Amino acid sequence: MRNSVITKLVAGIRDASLDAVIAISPENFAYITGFIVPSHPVLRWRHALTVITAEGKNAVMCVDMEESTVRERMPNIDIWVWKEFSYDAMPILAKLLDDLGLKNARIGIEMDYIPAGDMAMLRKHLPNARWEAAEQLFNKLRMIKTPEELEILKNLSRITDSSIKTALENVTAGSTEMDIAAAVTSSILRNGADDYKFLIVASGERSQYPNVGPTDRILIEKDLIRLEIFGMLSGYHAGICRTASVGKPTEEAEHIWSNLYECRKIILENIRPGVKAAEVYLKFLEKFGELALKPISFVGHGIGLFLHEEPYLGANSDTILESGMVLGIEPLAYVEGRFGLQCKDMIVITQDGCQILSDVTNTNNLFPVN
Amino acid sequence: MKRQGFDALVALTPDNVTYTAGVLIPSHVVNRFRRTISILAGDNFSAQIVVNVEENLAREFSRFSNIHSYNQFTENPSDLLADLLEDAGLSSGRIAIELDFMPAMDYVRLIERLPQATFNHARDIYFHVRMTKTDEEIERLTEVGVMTETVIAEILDGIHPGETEKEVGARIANKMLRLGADHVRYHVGSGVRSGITNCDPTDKVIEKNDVLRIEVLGDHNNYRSNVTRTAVVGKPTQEQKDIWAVLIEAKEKCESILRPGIQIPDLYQTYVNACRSGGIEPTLNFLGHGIGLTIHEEPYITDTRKYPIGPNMTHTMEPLFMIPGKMGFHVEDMYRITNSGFSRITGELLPNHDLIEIDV
Repeated sequence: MRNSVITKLVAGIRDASLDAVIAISPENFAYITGFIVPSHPVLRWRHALTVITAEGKNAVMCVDMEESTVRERMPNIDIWVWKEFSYDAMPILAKLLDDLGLKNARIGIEMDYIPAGDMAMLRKHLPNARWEAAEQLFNKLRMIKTPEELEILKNLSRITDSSIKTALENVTAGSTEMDIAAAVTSSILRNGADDYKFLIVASGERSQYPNVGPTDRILIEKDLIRLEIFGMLSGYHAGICRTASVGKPTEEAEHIWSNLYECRKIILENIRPGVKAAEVYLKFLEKFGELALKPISFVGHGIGLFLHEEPYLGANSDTILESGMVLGIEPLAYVEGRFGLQCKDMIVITQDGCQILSDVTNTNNLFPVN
Repeated sequence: MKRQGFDALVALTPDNVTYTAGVLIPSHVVNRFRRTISILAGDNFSAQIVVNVEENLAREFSRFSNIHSYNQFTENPSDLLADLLEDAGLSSGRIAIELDFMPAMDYVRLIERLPQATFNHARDIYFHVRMTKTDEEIERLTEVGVMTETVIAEILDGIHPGETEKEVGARIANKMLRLGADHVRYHVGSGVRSGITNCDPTDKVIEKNDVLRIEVLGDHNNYRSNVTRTAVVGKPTQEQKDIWAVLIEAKEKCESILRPGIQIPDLYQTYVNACRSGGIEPTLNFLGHGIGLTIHEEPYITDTRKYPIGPNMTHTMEPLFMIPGKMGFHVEDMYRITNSGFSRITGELLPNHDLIEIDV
């Protein structure tokens, strides 16, 4: 259990006049406990959760299959276990809450995660409890990283960035997208990530699609390659993207890249505590507008235990930026029907500005692939 | 859908939307806030809802031509879903929807919008339809299954004491991707760590006399594999051989009765009884699971699944016995049920009849 997180949560629970909150998504479970139950994010019905009360008491529940893993990680904590296939996760949760004296309480739960069917069952088993949405409470707290979280994200950003660099250095015209995929994933694991997610390898005209994985497509001269990967470590994500050019890039590609590079500079110059997130986006749009291409609705987002967190840097985001936030910033351009370019970095907001965490690959120019 | 008296079938999970609409939206899998929804209604209404950034991809690759997109930051996908169900004439229809996945907040909005409609779980419809595979699905499962077994064979062949579990893991990922896998997950547990069921690889160094358990879950063309082998670095002890013999005998007893018509609880009980008569209490309360678009689907081979095995089901069998704090044993292969029995998707290339011995 992470005591620093529990302290923050207890304050949040009291501010919201709740008696307790339940963390039921993999990311909020990990936020409190410091680890992910391995099959929790993969098999959606394998609920694992923690309950924190306004008095700071806590309880943990998991599926029988994962009991040994959870006990190994938390040897001194009482663990409630429910049996897979008996569909009794919610009845057991109701018992747990009753045991904590919460059957008539005001309880926060992640309404954007708990499946509707489970929520209905929970209401049935605890008809006198009052249920409130708790996701905003978690989202707000998670925006500001603790020193422990920051350390993980710094380390992971370098691992991820250097793996992308290694992969791009090791392919040439004639290699396939799959070769890039194999090189980047094996490098990221060797460098110390414990998993990765959301690998995008999009070359040639495929680079116009925001989110497509690798294929057998062979790299040819003048191709652009968008390579994005989210390295993972202890449940945290570092999303980084680089764009490479096979051989000498076309003037058009260079022109767009230099605009994106300028956009990136403007974003970095404008990010500091006290600034409204939307303002950064609007400043970005001024520069990006010179390209006369369609922008997407955000140019950055919080990142941590989930790959997109609050705050988004978008036109509708009125969040005020604060020191300790970690963001992925990603100026990108899609030329419909033809190609796409993207540069995504990890940054942390400091007392007076921001610092780039993905500082391994030089992004002044399109990454040269021979 | 119709047989069960529903007017519409609505899917929200990546696997069921993919099964219905034929296209997997990549960011849907990793970002549950980017809802992707498929709708089938009546005889001729179909539609897919995607987040606006994925609209181009969906238009190009979806089986459906009726694509609608929403803005993730300003619009609620449940409103769009309600609009489309209204268009389909179902304001007071009977709708099967994935209540075991749909977030409670989306559902609250949907019933606000369509107070006259009734909503029920869609789980059993999809589970049952997806259990029986088409030829194309079986082909894809075979491809990824064989790829996975090939990789495990090569990996076990190249293991030497002194390398870490993580290094072995990186090699598995590299080989799988080179052979064309789109994604791969794996467990590597050595020594004491082999006794943890889902053993994510660590920096532990693999040593002589370790039990070594490798489980690989591949993903290729949206279909999954799940294969596990247990080896010993050096020679197994008598205790290890004895435990292994019980698990293998239990597996063979199950194979001897595996054919269409056998009741799943009977198959499971055969496994449990064989283990117990060999002095072992199975660690898991299932013997195997269906495999297809997801790694775990129906039929789960366990006592609560009171229906028979049928032709063209694909599933795993995975006898597993963990001694926490000491060591663990686990063999897992993929099977396809034929008209008269079964065929092995994996298990021919690298049999695990005896514990695999790694030369030291």
